[in-house]
Amino acid sequence: MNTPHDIDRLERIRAVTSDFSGYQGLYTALLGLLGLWAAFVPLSGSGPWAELFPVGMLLIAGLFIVTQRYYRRRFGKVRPRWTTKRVLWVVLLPIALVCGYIALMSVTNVLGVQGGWVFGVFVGVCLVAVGCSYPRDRWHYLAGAVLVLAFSLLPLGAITPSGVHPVEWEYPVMVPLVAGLVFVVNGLLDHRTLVRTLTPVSENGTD
Amino acid sequence: MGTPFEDMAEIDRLVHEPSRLAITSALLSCEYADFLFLQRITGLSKGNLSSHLSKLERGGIVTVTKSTGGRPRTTIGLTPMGRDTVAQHWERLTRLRDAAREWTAPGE
Repeated sequence: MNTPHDIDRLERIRAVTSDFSGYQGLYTALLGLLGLWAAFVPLSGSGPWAELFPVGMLLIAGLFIVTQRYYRRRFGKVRPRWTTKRVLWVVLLPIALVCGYIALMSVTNVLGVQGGWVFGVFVGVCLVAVGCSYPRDRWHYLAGAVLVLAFSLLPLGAITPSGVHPVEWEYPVMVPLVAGLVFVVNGLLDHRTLVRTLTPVSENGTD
Repeated sequence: MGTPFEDMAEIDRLVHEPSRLAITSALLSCEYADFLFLQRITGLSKGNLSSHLSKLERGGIVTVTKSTGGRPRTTIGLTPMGRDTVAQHWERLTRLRDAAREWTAPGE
């Protein structure tokens, strides 16, 4: 008879299998690195490393290809099942989030209150959405969302020497910096879940 | 839906064996997976995994497809009947777990 502990493991197997690409956290970590790069080498051209922007992009693209090979060779391939839930989370929700972001940009623009905080709120809501997909294994996304939302919305300008809120700093660009760090940490935690669920095999090689 | 004890009596031995349950649970959550993924998720050796897959294939639970173009690759998926069987098995397991949580020993 399977014990509740076994059922917990089986449920984790099911969660990881149904969202195998989502648990390939090194991609999320690379997205975080992209955010960090954009924070220190922004497209606006400010900062001491402005001319290094293409180098970083090429490096991240190279790491992306290496990561793709690594996952394919080490963990194999899974074709996901397009259930209603998956369509909702993977297709419809991102579209709704982007539409929501555009609407928020428009409203804040009309009200004259636009700023870096809008992007922070968008990133925070995206993190909440990912965290709610499998709350038990992805609580760290919810923690990251709280951090990004707090950073974007709390009146932190009062405690900075210049009196300017960090989200409005010209250099480094703080929202991609904080979001990038959150993505790197969350990606590594997802990768850890994947590695723990997909145990090493006793024989090397593929079939 | 029966009592927990009737549910236990109806458990499908082919699917319920721990390694095969891990294989079929993974396959229930996807269209198909390749051999390496199933090896990873179960921790079984190639020989053991092949043996379990043969049993499941003979029982009509899974289909095994070997592609020869380029790098040889084996993909495994549940048959429609297998999907029903494994889904029912999971319902039964969930009911048993819930019943076990609610159960209290006589005298408690």
